[in-house]
Amino acid sequence: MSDAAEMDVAIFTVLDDPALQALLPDGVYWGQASQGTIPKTKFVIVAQTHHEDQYEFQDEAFERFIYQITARAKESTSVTVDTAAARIRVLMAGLTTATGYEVAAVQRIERIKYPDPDPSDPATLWQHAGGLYEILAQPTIP
Amino acid sequence: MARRHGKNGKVMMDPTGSTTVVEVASLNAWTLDASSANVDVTAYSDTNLQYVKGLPDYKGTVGGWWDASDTAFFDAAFAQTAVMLELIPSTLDATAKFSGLGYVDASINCPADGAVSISGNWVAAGNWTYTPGV
Repeated sequence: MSDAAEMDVAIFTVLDDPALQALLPDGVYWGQASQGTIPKTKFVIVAQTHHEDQYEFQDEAFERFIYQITARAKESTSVTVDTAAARIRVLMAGLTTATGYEVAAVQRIERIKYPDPDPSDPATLWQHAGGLYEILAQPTIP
Repeated sequence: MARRHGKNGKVMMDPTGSTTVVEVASLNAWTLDASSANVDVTAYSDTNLQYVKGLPDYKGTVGGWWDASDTAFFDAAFAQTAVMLELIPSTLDATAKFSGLGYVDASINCPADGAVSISGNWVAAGNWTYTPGV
């Protein structure tokens, strides 16, 4: 049976991109970026916000995933995250394969952009930009 | 026999109208409506409408996902002849089925934000039978 976690892997694979890393050098993270000893200030967060199975008789026909993928940067302007969000959109359009699935469609269905004050220093802003991405895929492993 | 989930339903069809039916791929729904064409025979002094039962008007729908490799559904719809249909509520009770000749219509829905789906109506083109599972 196809493993939905393979879609997560496929997303991280396409986001492993030098141009995106140049903009957001602290990496791509699932759900949250652990700050650790060296604070991260420019990174990408990937999270799954919705998933549903669509059936045919005897079998699963499609899986529909929705991921929220946002560029985040601790800076006063949105220039970096805007550029990164545009790069993420290009990279996601190139997501055509995932182990155990035939990818039928990948498309952004909602744009995300907002600033957020740093909890420990309200005078400092975090910039967020990206989108909700819908993936429709046909499982290929019974 | 137990109550069943529809996930194990099945639609079988022979486009030639004979009895060599094969499964139609990628379908996920079917309906059958056997409502009778009842006739109103209400008379003076009756206190409510009264009917005599007419013949069941077998008809229904089928639906599913479009599969480029399976042309049987549209072949049946475009043909001018009746096809043999077997509508099976659950393969767990494989002998339970509704079957008979039918004329099939088809439509296809291709949305920009979803999967391509197909649907269609069917009406009886011969006598239909219900074969109970037990």
